[in-house]
Amino acid sequence: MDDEIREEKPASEVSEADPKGAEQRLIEAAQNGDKRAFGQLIRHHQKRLFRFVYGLTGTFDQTEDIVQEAFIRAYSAIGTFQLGRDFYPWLATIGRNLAFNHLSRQAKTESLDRMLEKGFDPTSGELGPLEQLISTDGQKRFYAALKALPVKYRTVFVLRHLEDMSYDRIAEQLKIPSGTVDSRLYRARKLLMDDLKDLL
Amino acid sequence: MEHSYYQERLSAFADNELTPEERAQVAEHLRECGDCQKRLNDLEALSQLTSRHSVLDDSDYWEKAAQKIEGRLDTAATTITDVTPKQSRQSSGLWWKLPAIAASVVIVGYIGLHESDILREADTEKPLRTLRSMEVTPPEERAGRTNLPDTVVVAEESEVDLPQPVMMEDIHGGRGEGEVNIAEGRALREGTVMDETEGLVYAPSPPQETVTVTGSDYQVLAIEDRDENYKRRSLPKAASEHAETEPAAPKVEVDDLADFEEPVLAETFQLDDWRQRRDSILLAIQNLPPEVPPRQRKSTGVQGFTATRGTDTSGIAADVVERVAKVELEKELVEAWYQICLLSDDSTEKTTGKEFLDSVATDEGSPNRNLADSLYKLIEQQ
Repeated sequence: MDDEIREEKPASEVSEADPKGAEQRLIEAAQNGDKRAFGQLIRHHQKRLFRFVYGLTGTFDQTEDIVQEAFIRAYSAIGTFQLGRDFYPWLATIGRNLAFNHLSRQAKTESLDRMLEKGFDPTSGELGPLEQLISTDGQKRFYAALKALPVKYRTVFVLRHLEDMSYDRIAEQLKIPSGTVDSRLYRARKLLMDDLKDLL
Repeated sequence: MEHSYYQERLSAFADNELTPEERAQVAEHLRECGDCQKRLNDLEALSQLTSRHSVLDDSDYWEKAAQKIEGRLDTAATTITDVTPKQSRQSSGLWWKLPAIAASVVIVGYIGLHESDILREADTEKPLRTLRSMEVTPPEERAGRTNLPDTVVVAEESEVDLPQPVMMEDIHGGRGEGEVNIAEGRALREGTVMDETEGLVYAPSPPQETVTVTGSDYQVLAIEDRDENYKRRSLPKAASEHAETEPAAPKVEVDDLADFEEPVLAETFQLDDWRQRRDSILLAIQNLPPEVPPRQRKSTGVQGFTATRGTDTSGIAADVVERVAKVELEKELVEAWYQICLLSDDSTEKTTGKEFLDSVATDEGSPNRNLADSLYKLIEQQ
């Protein structure tokens, strides 16, 4: 007999065959204290969450911090998560609000001196650390163009295109009229189309 | 209908966000207008481009990032603490007694899910979003107890009748009844409901503790005595199994929230804010280093000022920093003037703003010209 202690198999990764069921099992395991199960949830969702948060903040470092914090908070609150629901929207809500809090704090408190010290040009093609996660010209052009959008336009664009939110839902999240969502999306799209017309 | 009516609705048409009547009108127009049909095709192409090019690559980075997060799970905050949004000032007799017995009581808030599923599960007879009564026990009776009763669910403002948070006033030293500052800038006012709020919620004065809020409802798990003798807190299910062996979670230090205001993103930037922002930017531009004489200068085309080019490597880095700073300042100034033009009733001010936008839009060397051009045209359409 094998003397080696057989460890209980950890919760399996989210599989293509039954992604929702597998995810629910992971969540349940995490609720019962299985950190490895939560680790699988991290691996399954972090890329999408990162993309979303980066779309909102436009800053790699801040995105890293927010994504980490979102998962930490999700873990802390995992006991309240209602099984049967989709995990990502819940996680994305946490990330979204962390990003919004960051943006509003930045807009109000960032001094111009700090802006001058930063030494980076958000309107250039330089994406900094994000470049380790994007390899094609299309990706680089897209993210550079997205980053160049004024934050109010970028926010609605990201919520619509990367999170597939309805106008009413976006309006509710941003506390703006639905008509304003429409007009900001219109502007965001126009600016992006101008910037990326050769890729369309 | 003017042509602009249809153009302005193409975006919403593509998103299927128009009313049936509008949709029919635009669809009819598209049958006749090749230009709008092309724009619609471009919108679709943009959507596909976004789907295609927004995907991030697989990379070693993700595994490292996941491990980093996992490493922090062990020290993740499992404490959830105080939150009580101020609601109406109706109160029961019990709450008025709290100042006498609960000077160090904190309501522990814990957030449920958006649709109040927890409530639905816990009590299907009562309406989903109702206030439950809270049991309050004096500190001397609570010492050593854990997971004290019970839950208060706050949902829609109109449905909420929270007791007056007298305890908040007592605990937080006169911060003002009903004001609970959510971390990072969101101040709650009387009547504010924690609907869809996320992030840390801070008690407004020390000792400060935090709660993680998710979803539209929050759920108070327990009333906790802040007395130092009381260490046990309501823990998420995942942590409760280890409650006997793990030490009490440390109190979390939080920043003073005195200067926090409502988030800028939620349309709170008024005209005066934009004017101040504009003036700050102009001041920053004035304080930038002086220009280099023309023979050493190579224009970047940034409107209103000219970048310098160093003639040696030590100057180039500084020059690049300065150049990008000017580009960024110009971009900020473009947005500020745009907002001022939208909000202001002063025709002279609006004219000045439009002239600035036009000057940037027509500056071939400016990276912000497209932005300025688009915003200028939007103002013209107002």
